[in-house]
Amino acid sequence: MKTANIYMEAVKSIPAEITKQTELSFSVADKIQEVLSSKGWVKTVCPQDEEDRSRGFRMAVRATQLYLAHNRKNLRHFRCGYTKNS
Amino acid sequence: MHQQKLNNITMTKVAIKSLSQTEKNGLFSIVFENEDYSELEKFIERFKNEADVCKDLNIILSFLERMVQGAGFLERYFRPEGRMRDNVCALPIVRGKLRLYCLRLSDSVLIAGGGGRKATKTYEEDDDLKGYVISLQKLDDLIKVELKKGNIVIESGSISGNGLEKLNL
Repeated sequence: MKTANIYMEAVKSIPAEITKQTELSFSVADKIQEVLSSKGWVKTVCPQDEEDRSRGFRMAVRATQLYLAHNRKNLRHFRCGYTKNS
Repeated sequence: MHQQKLNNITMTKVAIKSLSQTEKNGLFSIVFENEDYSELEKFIERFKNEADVCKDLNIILSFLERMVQGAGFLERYFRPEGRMRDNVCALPIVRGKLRLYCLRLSDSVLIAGGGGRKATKTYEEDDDLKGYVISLQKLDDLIKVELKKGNIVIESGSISGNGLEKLNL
């Protein structure tokens, strides 16, 4: 196994503009989490019930749309897998 | 051909290589026996000079490093992939032409697998992408067994134990 770390070298050459975009994506994901958590929705690792999962997803979509109307096209995957914290 | 590729992976011993580490978080990748570089490093080498996907590669790397240096590998930063019961996920969460498949063992430990161009609607339709996901699912199963036996320990930002030597995909 070679010890040279290609990953670390590649990370050093990431353009500043992409780093800035990444920060925005993270802040959107964090905001969604914050909004949904405040409404009693939590991200679950593995909702067992298919119907619960679908309902959680639909509610998460609705909450997200209400609170974050901008930049919708990139939001879909942030919202997957939320269910109500009962 | 795909089946043959999967059969080869089945017989291969793997090692886990640390690529980036902080006090809290650790990014690792798989190295197959007799190979010099990890799957993530091969992914970088394969796409870094391809003009149409260079930006997508940088986005994935930027996400990874932001997670290593920041809050960790939280579920909300990944695309859910594989089955509901496994820990396989993918990057980037935003739109992109590339996919990197990973095993999210905890909020502080991530094992990056391989990846490639996403040219089909689902990874199952692409033999290469499906192969990367299946090998990560197998690794996930093996790690779970060794964790249960106490042969592997996942702590804050690290994975250790003699069970790591028994990982044969």
